[in-house]
Amino acid sequence: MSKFLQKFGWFLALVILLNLMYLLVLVLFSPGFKKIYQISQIRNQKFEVLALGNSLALDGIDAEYLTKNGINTYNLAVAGSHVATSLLILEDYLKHNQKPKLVIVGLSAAYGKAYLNKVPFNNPEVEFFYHPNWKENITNPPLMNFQWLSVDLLKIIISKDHRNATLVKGQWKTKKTIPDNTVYKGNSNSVIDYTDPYLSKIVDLCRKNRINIILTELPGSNNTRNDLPFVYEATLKDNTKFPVFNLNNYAISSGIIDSSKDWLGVNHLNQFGGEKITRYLLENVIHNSEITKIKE
Amino acid sequence: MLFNSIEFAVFLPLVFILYWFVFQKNISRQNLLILLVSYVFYAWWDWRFLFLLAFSTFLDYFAGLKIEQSKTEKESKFWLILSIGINLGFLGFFKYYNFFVTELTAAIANAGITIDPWTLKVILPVGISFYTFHGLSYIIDIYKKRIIAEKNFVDYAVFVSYFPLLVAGPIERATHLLPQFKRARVFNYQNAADGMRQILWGLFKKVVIADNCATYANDIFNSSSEHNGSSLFIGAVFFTFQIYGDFSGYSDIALGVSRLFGIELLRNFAFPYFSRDIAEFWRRWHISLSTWFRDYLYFPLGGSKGGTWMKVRNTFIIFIVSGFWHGANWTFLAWGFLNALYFIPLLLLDKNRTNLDIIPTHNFLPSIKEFFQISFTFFLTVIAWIFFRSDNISQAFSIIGEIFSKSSLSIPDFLGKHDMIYLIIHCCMIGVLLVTEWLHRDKQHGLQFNNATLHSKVRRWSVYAVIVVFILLFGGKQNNFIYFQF
Repeated sequence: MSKFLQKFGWFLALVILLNLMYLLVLVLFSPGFKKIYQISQIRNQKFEVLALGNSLALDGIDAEYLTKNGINTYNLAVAGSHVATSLLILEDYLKHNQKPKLVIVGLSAAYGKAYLNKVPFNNPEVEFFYHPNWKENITNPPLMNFQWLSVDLLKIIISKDHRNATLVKGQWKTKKTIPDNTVYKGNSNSVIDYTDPYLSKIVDLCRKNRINIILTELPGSNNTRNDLPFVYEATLKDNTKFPVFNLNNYAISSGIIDSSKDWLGVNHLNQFGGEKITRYLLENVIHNSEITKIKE
Repeated sequence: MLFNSIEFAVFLPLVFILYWFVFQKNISRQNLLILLVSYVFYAWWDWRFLFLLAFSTFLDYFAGLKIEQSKTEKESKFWLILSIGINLGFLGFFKYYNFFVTELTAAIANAGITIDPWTLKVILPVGISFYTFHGLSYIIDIYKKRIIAEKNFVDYAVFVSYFPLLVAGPIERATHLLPQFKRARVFNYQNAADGMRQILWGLFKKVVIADNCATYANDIFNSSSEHNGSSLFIGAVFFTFQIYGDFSGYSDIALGVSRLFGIELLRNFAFPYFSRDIAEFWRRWHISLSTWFRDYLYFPLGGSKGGTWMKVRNTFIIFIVSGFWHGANWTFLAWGFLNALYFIPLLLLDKNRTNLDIIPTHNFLPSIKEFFQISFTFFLTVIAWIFFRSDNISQAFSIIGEIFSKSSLSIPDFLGKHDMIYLIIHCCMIGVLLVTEWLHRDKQHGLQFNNATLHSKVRRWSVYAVIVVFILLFGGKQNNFIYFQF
């Protein structure tokens, strides 16, 4: 029996060791994991603009471009996140840093259901760094909890473009190009459901802190685009109306993005597409952000 | 309580410690402990059905004593029929009542008479098919004087409700399991260590193979009318691996857990997808149920002694009853019927016992002929599983029709809906399953090592590490075990 218990102990030690090794691999090689660690550690910064959102914002909002154009920006977007995660990150940022002048929330039609899902969730890797909990780490060990990050690691092993991708001011930049071969469906005028309470909480938080806020519908692949006007009104949870800058309008986004060069996969822009869309955002929205200023 | 849950990960070590360190000196106390924890295990799903389990246990215990004490054949038969009637009555009510009422109403409606179907919201008690069959085999064996009635109620109750097999088998026999509860158990390191390996392999099959294949199979079967033939065939192949991973994974965990307590259970799977013909497949798939039907249905019906017609009739009966045992749906009957159709030619040509050994016994790889035999048998089972998985017969036929159409030659249209990298990973995991089981096809389970195959500790522990990583990293969403519904 003692031999069996000893071996079982060794087996448990092996499981623990494998989980620790996986954490180490993530820390060393996973850009997503590293980014969340980095943003959780940001202290005493004075960024003028912050970008929030999921992977569309992570790939599509070029903080480096805005910074080069005189607006010190950081991209706080997290891949695969719900808007609840964006709120958590923004709240934490505001606790430890000077408040920014502007927050851009990158919304999306293509991934609207995930980002504005009715059931809120915080990404496990965000929880890991923002709310460390040993009990959670035992019942849901890292190998299980961060399953999907392993796919990113595999992509890094397989693809040179993924290996060469960089995180610049929070934006994930890659030159990898996969053309968007999807076809625009036409006459799509349905507005995303913006009644998620966490989106309202982000807007309220910005209002309380007197931070300007821009909600923008980021462009997706051709088959997800719409015919809504460039600025349309969204109805939030508390029935307040808020303008949304629609970069997912088919005519507008087709004029900015090259379907054959600016995508790295379904609905995700590569660094060329990201820069183009950010330039458009800068010239047509951020420079005119008076319209979104909080009224006294 | 699922085997692949945190609750069970706490439950099992607790029971293990109590069993070997607190109650180890007294068999009766060990059995009482097992009985109590088995009831806790069962109550985790629905405590209300504990009364049904307890009643069924008491009924068979009492009937067994009465059969043994009977002075006349008539009296003995009375208790046998009473017990079988009540057992099958419960099974019929919980499992088949709504099916029969609905079908009867439809039949009457065809005759022009409309009546309201008197269906009930019946919840199927988990494992009822399994513990009912335990009880039936016990009663029939006493009646046939193969065993004597168990006098100790606790020992009998443990036989019926032993938690590793309570909800999804293997279906045990009193002749095999009861004697093990009567003798002192000594902890055996080799058995326990191998049990742990079997649990690990079972978890891999359930969590990595079955739960991931379920994603694709569910997606394709739930929208079968939207898919082309190639997608539907791939969906059926995914289901083929899902049901194998799910059920044989459960059986591996059950056998492994039981070995930790010094109790050996009947083997339920013997690498069925390496079978060279359907007869061999059925000797390797759900062995405890197949042999149950053989011993308690096929042989009493006359088996293969009464000429060709009787052989064919009895074969159809056991396959169809076996199909119906799985659930109240015409699809299960069709699945049984199709397997009987597969089996009959072998029976008529007297080739149903050709492949009795492990394939291939002396070579590492199968011959070309064996490879084609395995592939063809696998293909037949894939087609049969379509009936098992479909919601109704017409869906099954429409899927099969599409598979045998030109659209099977086109690119599978389900690919666009799934992330390709996950699909590749999951296909690789199926490859790991097949290669591992092929390498260990002469063993009891996929991770059974001996010094000849894996003498180095480092290599053996490396395999454990890889399997643990696969389970944790590539495990699918937790789904219930399919056979819980049976």
